[in-house]
Amino acid sequence: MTPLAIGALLAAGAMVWVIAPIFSEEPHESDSGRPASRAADDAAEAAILRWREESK
Amino acid sequence: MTQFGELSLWIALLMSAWCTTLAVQGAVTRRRSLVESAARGLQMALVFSLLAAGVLMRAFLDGDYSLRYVAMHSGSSVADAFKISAFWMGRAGLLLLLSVALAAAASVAARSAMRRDADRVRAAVTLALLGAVAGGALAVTAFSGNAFALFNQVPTDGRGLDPLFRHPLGLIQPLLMVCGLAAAAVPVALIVASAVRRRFDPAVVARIRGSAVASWGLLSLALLAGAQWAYVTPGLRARAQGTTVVVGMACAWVATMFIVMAASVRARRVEPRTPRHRVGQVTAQFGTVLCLATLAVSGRTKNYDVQIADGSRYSAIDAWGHSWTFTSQGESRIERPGDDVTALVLLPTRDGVRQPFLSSESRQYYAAGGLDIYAPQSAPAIRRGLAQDLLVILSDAEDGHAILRISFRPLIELAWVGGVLITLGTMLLFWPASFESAA
Repeated sequence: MTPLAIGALLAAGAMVWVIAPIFSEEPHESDSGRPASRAADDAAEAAILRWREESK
Repeated sequence: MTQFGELSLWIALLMSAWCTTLAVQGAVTRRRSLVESAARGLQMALVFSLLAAGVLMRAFLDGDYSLRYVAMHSGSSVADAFKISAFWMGRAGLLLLLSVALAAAASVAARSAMRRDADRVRAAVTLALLGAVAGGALAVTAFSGNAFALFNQVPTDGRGLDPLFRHPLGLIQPLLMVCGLAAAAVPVALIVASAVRRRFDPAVVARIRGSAVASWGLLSLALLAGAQWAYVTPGLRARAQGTTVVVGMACAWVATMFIVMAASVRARRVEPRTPRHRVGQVTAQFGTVLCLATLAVSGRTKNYDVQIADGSRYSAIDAWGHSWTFTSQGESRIERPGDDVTALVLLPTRDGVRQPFLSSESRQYYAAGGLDIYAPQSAPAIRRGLAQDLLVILSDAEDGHAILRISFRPLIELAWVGGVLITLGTMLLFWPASFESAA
């Protein structure tokens, strides 16, 4: 294996490690400091259920 | 391997650019994953710049003269230890070393900021600034000072290292200077990030002060080592005076000193006085007294420019009024691989009492093909003492006559000790008490 190929492999491995945190981010992992609201979730779920009932 | 080194340098530059971009994006969107990715990018910039430096160092040790930079600063006649220091004796190598040091300092400081700083946006801005500084150094290294440029036709031997740089202090002083300069980027980045956020809380002030003290200490030791190097190597001071590196080091030293003072003003009112502060104060004061003593007697320095024939005697009075005689024992010439040495031996007496022989040398170094591309280098005879140093510098020796300078420098050794004591004492005095918990 040539030194350039080794370099390219190392670079690819490093890039994967560097970008890994972006892809392993949880949906609500933003750093806004606000916890997800259970009441908002419940309201959204209720709205979806209501829309499904109406569209039947 | 050369291509691997150059590739590593470019990847390091790419990683630092990634770091800055993602850290700015992370600060704007407040997404932790982007800032984490930016920090990893900075760590990879360190890894790849270290790989690039490792490839260049190996080229120096193996004598790979296909690299233009290696051929211009090393050669087969250069001792192995000086092949290591030849790495940073040119612009490209020094820039690469500075890039490595900046990437290392930035990685450590960025990780510390992300772990300890309660203000995550400020930590992200700090990371972006440090990445930009490391990236700037890597960009200058890659674009304008590429140490991996190759010769079309490989020479059989290198040009050799400039004789002025063939001194053991050349192994230490540039490292201290580069580490000090790299460390100076940390308090500056913290100050700018705090100014952007308009938040200078005690924890960040302690971190600014701690990193500024560390940088100031390293730069002070670098200045002292540089002064000592110039003291024992005639011609080095004239060469180094006013160069970008020396001016930059002096500016960074002054800037870090101001930062330490400014950051200490508020902290000193609230910090309790501990035994560490007292030891630091006494040490710095003692060092100052030693330096002032040297300064006070500097007017007693005696210099004699002498032309002396073989077997003849020269009389002189030293800084403290003692009478000396110097009897020339004649000159000798030695031909060694890579250099010719002309040595003049003097037999000194002090107030009629015989002293040990003094041997002052002039060395002519030769590059490949016997070319004398460097001016002859003096290696002075130095007799160190607490009361005074005696230096004999040989300028020229020919046909039974020698031209030399005899210098008596009073209390000069106290100034070196005083400088080290001032540095250590000041670091003890200003090191923040809350740095460990805040850093």
